[in-house]
Parts: sequence; structure tokens; C-alpha cells
Amino acid sequence: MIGAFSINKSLNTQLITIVIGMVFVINLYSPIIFKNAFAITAEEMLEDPILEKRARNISAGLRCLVCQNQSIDDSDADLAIDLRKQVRDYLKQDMSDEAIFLALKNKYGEFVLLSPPIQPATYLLWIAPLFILGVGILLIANLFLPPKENNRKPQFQNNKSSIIKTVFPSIKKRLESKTGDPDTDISAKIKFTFPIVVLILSVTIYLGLGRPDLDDQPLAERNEIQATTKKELKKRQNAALSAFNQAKINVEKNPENLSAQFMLAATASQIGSIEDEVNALEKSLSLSGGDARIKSQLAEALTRQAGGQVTKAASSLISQVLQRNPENIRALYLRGLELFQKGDMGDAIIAWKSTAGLILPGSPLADTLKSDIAKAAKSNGVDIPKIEFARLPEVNIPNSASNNALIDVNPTLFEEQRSQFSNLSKIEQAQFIQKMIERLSKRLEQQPENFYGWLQLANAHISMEDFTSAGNALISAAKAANSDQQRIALIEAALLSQTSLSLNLLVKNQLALLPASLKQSNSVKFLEGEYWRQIGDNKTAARLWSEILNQIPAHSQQAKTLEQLIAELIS
Amino acid sequence: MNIRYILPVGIFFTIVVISAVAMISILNGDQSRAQLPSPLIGKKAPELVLSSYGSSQTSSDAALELTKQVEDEPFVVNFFASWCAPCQKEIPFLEKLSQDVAVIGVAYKDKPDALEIFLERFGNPFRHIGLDNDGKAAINWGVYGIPETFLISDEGIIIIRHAGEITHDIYRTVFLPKIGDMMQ
Repeated sequence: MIGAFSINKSLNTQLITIVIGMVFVINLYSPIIFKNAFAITAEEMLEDPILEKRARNISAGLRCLVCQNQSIDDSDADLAIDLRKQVRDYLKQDMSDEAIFLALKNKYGEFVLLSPPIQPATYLLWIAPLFILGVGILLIANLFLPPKENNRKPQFQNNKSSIIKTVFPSIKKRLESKTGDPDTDISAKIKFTFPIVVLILSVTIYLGLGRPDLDDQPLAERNEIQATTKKELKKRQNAALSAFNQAKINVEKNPENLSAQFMLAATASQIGSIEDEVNALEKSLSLSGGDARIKSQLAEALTRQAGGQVTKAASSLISQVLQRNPENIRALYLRGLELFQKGDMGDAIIAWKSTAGLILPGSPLADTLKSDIAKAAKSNGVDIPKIEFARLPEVNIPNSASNNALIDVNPTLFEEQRSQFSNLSKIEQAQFIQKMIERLSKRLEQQPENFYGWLQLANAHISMEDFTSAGNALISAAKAANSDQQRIALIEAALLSQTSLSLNLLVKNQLALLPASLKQSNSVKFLEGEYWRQIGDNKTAARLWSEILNQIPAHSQQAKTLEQLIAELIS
Repeated sequence: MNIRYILPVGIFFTIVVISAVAMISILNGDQSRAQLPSPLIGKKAPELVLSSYGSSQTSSDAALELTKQVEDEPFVVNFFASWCAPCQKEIPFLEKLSQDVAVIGVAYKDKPDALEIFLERFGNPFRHIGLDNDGKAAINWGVYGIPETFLISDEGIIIIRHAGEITHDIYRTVFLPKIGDMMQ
């Protein structure tokens, strides 16, 4: 009887605990659970579903300042509607999510952000749910752990103010009337099932709906993305490692082969083994008889080996390279670095500025250059100079469907490739390039956004004189390009590379994707004309080109060339 | 009773009580929306490019940069609407303010006809009135409910932002001292 009472008590307390616990869990996540209450109207929505999704996400993270505890996504208040429109306007202006949050934060203050940022003032806020969860676990654990023997002493029975008596008198009576072993089947089952159910429920809500501070991305999904990224990375590392081992075998078989050595250096660099890379580059250099490109690569590897310090050996290599080709990007950059490390800021800036003049503004080195120049200028106490990067061609009047335009797209890549292979035999060159094309294509299948990869592929195809493939690669590069300027230049290059009809259609599609403001520009008009000319519609081509003619100075070189072209079209 | 039972339950209810007390004190306390800090204070006043009421009532295309109209002197920007009761009540204080500084009114989502009646009935303390028909200017100024009033220094810096009606107390304790400082 005494035992039965003790179980009854804990059973009912368990029930109450669980109800309270569930209310709490639901409360903590209520913004997520009940967020499907739509306030947004159809006419507010953007046409682009991706932008609309972003708009919804952002709106869900912004507080409606009139209602204060609703997001603007849920609210029907006037201000919420206006803010939703504002968010969509921002999105149309290509602003990033962070930029939008920041812009509104600057106007309305931190309060406008529905998920408070993690900072000292809000630590308590973020920790509180975890704390409450901890207390809950403690509570449950205490209730379910078998009570010590002395707990079963009659003093319990005398406790007249127990919750059960007041809250569940009937249950109490029913259970009280039962006699027998306290560890009956039912109570034992409940003992184990309840905590498990609560735990599973909490974990499901957490996994399914994610943390409240990370908008709209369930934890499970995030974990999946992370796992895939990790797997990808591992796969790539393994691939790099096996490529390195293969290259090593090739070198052992054929130690006097330049391409084998060079491949070893490249793969060693991929797996981050600087020692091997330097050795292989040194051997490649001697095999190639002092190739400038390999020299500059060696200089760079030596610098990396020395932890970013330009060593004496590297310095002399740089001098040699620059003597032969003052526009070798790598050597020029390293010369700047060397001067910077010597404290000669002025000359370092000059060297880096000329480096910048050789690369495209979107290239990976561009950002490094910008910050390096800024650093040099700062320690020299001068204003940060204006940096001019290489410019893409504007309207390039073609003399024929020549490939010269391709060289214009990125002269350095082309030049580098040419010098790299100049010492190999023709067949060796072809084999090397073919392999490179295969590798690149495979890689680009997985990362179609790799702009420079596509450019490299296009150049490789050009070396193989496969202009249709080159054109396709250029179109892909145009898709991946991050500025319309680049895009136009690449479309142009693709158009000039060959006259395959399917390729031309791709070009046309790309042109159609350009923003309306650009469509009216002369370069795009010229390209369109070229497209029509290539598919045989000379009339349209002539019309488009005449339109350009009306807008440029009458006696300029361009006008003359255009006139000539139009005359050819008409005849 | 065993401490093992009491302690967690005790902690749990303590948390509940503390949260409840905190909630109630926030709800009843001074944390009304007028007291929400504005990040704009101390910053340069945003632009106010609006079509101007009065000067070009017929063609509302002529957008004016209103803050440029009062350059190099302190001024007040008041977001109001003819349909808003507190806006009517605060007009006398805006009139008082207009004796010391220029007052620019921004009519928030209002109609020129209604505006005309409003100004006739309650008075017109405004040197310029801009029409914020789509509420964009309000968002740009971080306004979330009218009336809202800003005091801007002669250097174009926002000194005061007051959300809600300007009462006699607000006029006396918030606006007057700052304007006095600026006049010196």
C-alpha cells in the first residue's frame, strides 16, 4: 500500500511534468510551428521564385515594429506591407540578404531583427532555452530514477497537500485502491516510455524545424549539406593524392620527361606538398632549359616554402623572368611582394599596379592585389592609389572569324600556355592538352560556376584547333561570368570562334539574357548583327550595324570599318 | 519531502515566476515604442526627395530634395497625415517650433484634398510639405508610425527622434532644451 502510493504520486507528477514540458517546447518554437499564417498578398510577390523565396526568408526575419512580436511576413500592418515591398525592391537591386538586413538595421535599429544577434546583451536570451531544457532533464531524471529506500517511508503517506490529491482525486482513488507490487507492468512501461517520448519529441522538433536563429534551414538539411561538402572535399583530396602518386610513378619511369615532371609539380601543389613541388619544378626547369613560366612558378613555390618571404633564390629567378618577359604576372606580383618586404613601398605599389593592369578585375588575384596595395599605401602614409585592371575589349571589329579575339579575352592564360609547351614536341603537347581538357571538363561538370576553368578549357580547345568546343566553353564561361562586361566579351569571342549553328543559338540565348540597358549598347548590337550575319540574315545584320553607325563619330576608324562591313553585307 | 523532488520543481517555478515578472515589468514599464532607440540619432539625416505639396499641386512630378531647401539651418521633419488624430493635436507645438526652426512636413500616404482641409482647419506650421505617397521616405527615415518628429542640426545631423505625439511635456523637456542649445 505504501509502495503503491509512492508510485501513484510520481506517476501523476510525471503527467504534469510532461504536459508542462510539452507546452514549453511548443512555446519555444511557436514562431516556427505557426509560421504558415500567411499575410502576404499575391500582388506583392516577385515573379522570380528564387527571389521571392529570399524575400520571404528575409521578411520572416524582420520584426513588424507596429505589432512588435510578429514578423513582417506575418503581419497585415501597413508598415509591414511597406517593408515587404522595400525588401523586394532591395532584392531587385541585387542586394544580398545581409546587406538588406544591415540597411534596415541602420534605419530601425537592432530591434527590427527578429532573431536577436548573439552578443553580450543577448547571451541570456540564447542560453535560457538550453538552461530550461537542462532543468527539465534534471527534473525528469529525478522523478524517474528509482527512489532510495528511505523515500518509501510512511512520511509520504502523511503528506496531505500532495498535488495528486488536489488535481486528480479520482485517479488517485482508483490507483490507491489497487494494491500490489509497485513495479507492475504498466507503471514500469510508463516509467520508460514517457521520458523517451518527450526526448524524441524534442529532438524531432529540433531536427525538423531547426534552430530558431537559423532561418528556414532545418538542421537535418544543413547537416546533409555539410556532409556532402565534406565528402566532396575528401573525394577531391583522394583524387589529388592518387593523381600525385600516378605522377610520381610516371616520373620514376621516365625521369627525363618534362611533362611528367611538370605534372608531378602540379599534383604536388594540389596536395600541398611544397617540398615535392619545388623539387619537381627544379627538375622541370632544368629539363626545359630555363622556361620562363616554370621559373616564375618555382619562384612562387620557393616563396611559399619560406612562409611567404621572397628568398634570394626566388628573387634571382624573378629577375630572370622579368628580364625576358616584363609582363609575367606571377613574377611581377612576386617582385612587388619582394619590394614590399624590403620596405620599398612606393616601388611595390608600382609593381603591383602593373600586375593589376595584366589581370581581369574578377580574377582571384585581384582581391589580394587590392588589399596588398592598400596595405603598402597605408604603411607608406599615402592615399590608396586607383587600381586599373586589365580591361576586356569593347567593340572588337573582327577582320574575319579569327581567333585573335580569344587572346584578347585573357591574353595571359594564352601566353602562359604557349610558353609552357614551347619546349615539348608537338605530339607531346597535344597529349598533354588532351589530358588537361579531359580533366578540366570533368571538374567543370561539377563546378559549372568556375569562370576561369571555362576560360582555360576554351584556351585548351583553341590550342587543339577545336573551335566549336572552344565556343561552347566560352558560352559556359559567359554564363559563369560575374559582370555583364565580361559576359559580352565572352559571347563575342564565342561568336567569333566558329560558325556552328547550335553554338550560334546558344550565343543568341546568352544575348537575350543581358539586361535591357545593355541590349541597347553598341557592343551588344554589334554582336547581334554578327549573329544574324552568321546565320545568313544579312539584312537584319546591316540594319543593326547601321544603327551603331549613327551613334559613333562619322570619321572614326570604327565607323570606317563598320561601313565596309555593311557594304559587304549588302553586296 | 526529499530535496531531490523539491529542488528541480523549485527551480522550474522560480524561472517561470522570474520570466513572468520580467514580462509584466516590460509591458507596464517605460518600454513603449517611443522609447525604442533610433540608430539614426547622431547620423546624417537621410535625403527627402519628394514631390512637394503646394508648389506644384497640379503636376506632382517635380520631386524636390526637401532637406536641401533648408540647408545650413537647423530644422524639424514631421511625418504626419490628415487622417491621424495625434497629428492634429500636435500642430500647435509644431507651430511653436516653427518660430525657431524651419519645419518640414512629410504627408504620409495622404491625399492633397484631405491635406488642404487639414491644414486649413488645424493650421499650417510647415515651410515645405513633401508627399510620401508610397511610404518610401518613411521607411528611409526608420519611421514606423506617425506622427514621428525629427530635429536636425544645421550640420544635417539628427539630434532628436520622437515617435508619437508631441505633447506639452515633450515639447518642453525634449525639444526646447536642444533647440536652445543649438541657438547659442
